Amino acid sequence: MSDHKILQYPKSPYLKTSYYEDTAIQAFDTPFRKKCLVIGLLFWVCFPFVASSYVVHIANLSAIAAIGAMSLNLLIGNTGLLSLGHAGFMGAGAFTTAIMTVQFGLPIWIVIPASGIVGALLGLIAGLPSFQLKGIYLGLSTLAIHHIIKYGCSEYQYYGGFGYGIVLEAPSLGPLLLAGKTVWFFVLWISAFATALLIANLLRSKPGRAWSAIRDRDIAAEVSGIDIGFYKILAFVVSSSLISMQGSLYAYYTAVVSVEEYSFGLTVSYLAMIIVGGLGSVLGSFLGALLITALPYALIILAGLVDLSFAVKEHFSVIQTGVFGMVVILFLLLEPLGLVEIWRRVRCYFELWPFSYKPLTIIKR
Amino acid sequence: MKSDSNKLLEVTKLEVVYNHVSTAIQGVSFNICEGQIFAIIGGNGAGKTTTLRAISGFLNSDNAVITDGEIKIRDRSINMLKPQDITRQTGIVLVPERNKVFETLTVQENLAVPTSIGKRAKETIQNIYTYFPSLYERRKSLAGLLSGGERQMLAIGQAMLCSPELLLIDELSLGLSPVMVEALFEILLKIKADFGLSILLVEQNAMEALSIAEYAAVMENGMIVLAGTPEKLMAHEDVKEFYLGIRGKEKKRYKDVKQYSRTRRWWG
Amino acid sequence: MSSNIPERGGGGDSRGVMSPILEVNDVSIAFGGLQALSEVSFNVLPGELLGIIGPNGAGKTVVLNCINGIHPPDSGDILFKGRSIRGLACHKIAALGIGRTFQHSELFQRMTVMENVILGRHIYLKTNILTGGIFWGPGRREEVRAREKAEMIMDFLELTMYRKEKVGNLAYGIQKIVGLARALAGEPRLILVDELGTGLMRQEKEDVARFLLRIHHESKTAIVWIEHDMQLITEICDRLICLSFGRKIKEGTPEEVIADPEVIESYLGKRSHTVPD
Repeated sequence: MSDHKILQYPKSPYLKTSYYEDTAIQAFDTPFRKKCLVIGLLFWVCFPFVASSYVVHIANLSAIAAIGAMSLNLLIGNTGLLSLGHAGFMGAGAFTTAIMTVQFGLPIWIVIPASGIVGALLGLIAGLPSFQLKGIYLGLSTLAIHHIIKYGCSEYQYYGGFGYGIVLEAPSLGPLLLAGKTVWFFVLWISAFATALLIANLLRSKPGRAWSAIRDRDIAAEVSGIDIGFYKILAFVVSSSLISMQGSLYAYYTAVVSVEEYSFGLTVSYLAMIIVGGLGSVLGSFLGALLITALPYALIILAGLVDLSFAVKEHFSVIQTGVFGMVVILFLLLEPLGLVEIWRRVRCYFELWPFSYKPLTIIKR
Repeated sequence: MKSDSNKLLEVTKLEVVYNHVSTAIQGVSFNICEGQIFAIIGGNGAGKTTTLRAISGFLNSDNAVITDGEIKIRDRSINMLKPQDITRQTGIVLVPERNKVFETLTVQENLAVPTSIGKRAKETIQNIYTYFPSLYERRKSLAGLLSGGERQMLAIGQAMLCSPELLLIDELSLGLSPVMVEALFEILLKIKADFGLSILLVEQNAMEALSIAEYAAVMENGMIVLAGTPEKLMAHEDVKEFYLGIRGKEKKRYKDVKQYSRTRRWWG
Repeated sequence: MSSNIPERGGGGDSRGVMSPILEVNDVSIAFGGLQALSEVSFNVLPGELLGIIGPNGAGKTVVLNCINGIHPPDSGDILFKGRSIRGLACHKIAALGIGRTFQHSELFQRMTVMENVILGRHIYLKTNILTGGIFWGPGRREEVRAREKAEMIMDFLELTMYRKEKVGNLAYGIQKIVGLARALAGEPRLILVDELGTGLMRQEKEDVARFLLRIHHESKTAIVWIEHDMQLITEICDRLICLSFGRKIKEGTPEEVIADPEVIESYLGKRSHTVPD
């Protein structure tokens, strides 16, 4: 027996031997996924140097949209609270930026956290009605806040004498001047990834679980010891603070702050992103943001390929809006769970291949 | 089974897949004759409700599809029919497990929903009340305020107003007190005798189901593992042990249960 | 299992000396003209398994909702460990150590079994937005500890094979057990169990019986249990209460209660108490 040699097998990368390892984010936990991550990163770093400046601009806008979609998804998809005031919070962030840079000349690393704080305070106010209101009623109360913020901002813009918009100078972070699409590509996408990581972390720890619990069954959540009111407000605060910081970044990126941009239509497009992408999913927010942001530009490119009559060209923006509406309706009808569900199904197909269905499992007890 | 001449429902090799991925039931076949009470017993997730929903055409709303097999009523295939057409054209009526009544309507209004008979509507509803006197007493109150048993009665009453030939009942005894279960089964037998209905009963409560059924099947893991007359099933060792709580000659006591893992005979 | 629940209550057998863990005194509640409970009183001793039976609509679930704080009673008082909990918010009552399972499970359908169970430990977790958002150091360590406890409970209730399944995709019977696991995760001193055996087949009921008896014996947690299966509840409970139309009509040992003519008439029916063999 002593001759018997015990073979030491190397540990499989798919096997997790501690709960610590099992708390890792699932998206990057197998060797194949890690390889995908590395290839994706390489592609990402090369992208702004290869693609045309126009495409990089679209990518930048997508990153901004992704942050906004993630913050709204946190509230609607994960906590189940409807907000129609997110364009307002975004505008509040943008105007905080404008006021602090134009009037006080403060640097970007103070301005962005300050926008976050302003957003958080507004979120606190917007969240207060959620004690009593639910669903569409809560949405209406946040819409009121949107209009109040917008009113304040437009007063500032017109009586401050800024005309059609407040022009900002390119900010600098230490020695680095944040100007040009390529620099902003990295700034914005790193911010987007950081937001995604933050939200993913929140969702796998205590606050995220509490939010999901409130969304699924609020009475059961309360009986499990969750202070529903506190966590609802917390969701509002986190979400509006994130989108406020995003508004600040957007203001810096476009270098112009104008109240017209932060209309109710913007909230609707963010809503469309999370519906198309998939409610309650970080990946879904990204996919939805990419699709909805790129859609009008893709249409323009498509229109360039075919010879259009003058009448069609004249009403092209109407066509864009129409296509946008069609996409949202088609998703609601055909795939209410969004792009994420399509992605899941594709993965499932390959996992089960060559079989189409999971077989019946006989549970012997 | 009786001869083929009076065969009402014929289910052959039914297979249902949920969410394009997971198979819920496979190879389920059974026949129901006219005027018969057929019971399907089985555990949770065995596919009993899926079978019912497949017959009544509700699978689409559950994101499921029939991938194989056929459901025929009086030799007419109903695989592709919509739920409302199944109820209207074939006389198959489902009493679902949950959400069975309209909670914001009164009992009277609830009963008025399925009646499209016009003049005779009042008469017909009155006829229903003769079977459920306690519903008549509460006819003005909202259905949402009814107790579990009364809801069940109301749901059966509603189903009766759709002039059914085959009544599909999902979990009649779920969450009801013993006295209520007893009363409901009595009413059901009476209705069956008066209207000449066939009933497909899906039940957890094996003892009650087997006591009123004329033919029964045991479902497990999406398949029918055993079928026969109630007497035959009740004599089967595994049915006794896993569904009726009798081991050998003695009744098992809950206080004495220990963890054990004995495979059922039908899985080999 | 027993290791993570603190010892309490001396553990003596003489029930008369022990002070009750829960006292419900003359609780009445009405919902819009419908008197759901009228002057219901009972006590629960530490480590006791108390069963509540009664016809549908008798107010059994309302009693539990009153104790939980979902519906504060109109009059009367509820004392938990000698302290009045009437009018306290739900989550505060939960934090005192009262767990609850629901009739229709009321689980968080889109979360996994594991998340549901860890959520039951909510009151013990101290992670906030910052530590949770960073998920490094204290936040992650706490998560791992919560996971360990949750695994112990899932192991105890034989749920480990389902830990990563979405609760909504599980069979009804398993969902019920997940509900019990979520309540146990909060390490309660008193668990309110609402119709745990409803909709389960015989074998699953045997599992439920086994689990409840183990909780009863090993951790001496008091259990208040509503159930319709007479064989199940009479064989397992120490004491039974029968409610009918919001009133307590009988209290005593299971044998006494099921022999009571009023209970037989309003609840049991003529057939059921003569258990078939």
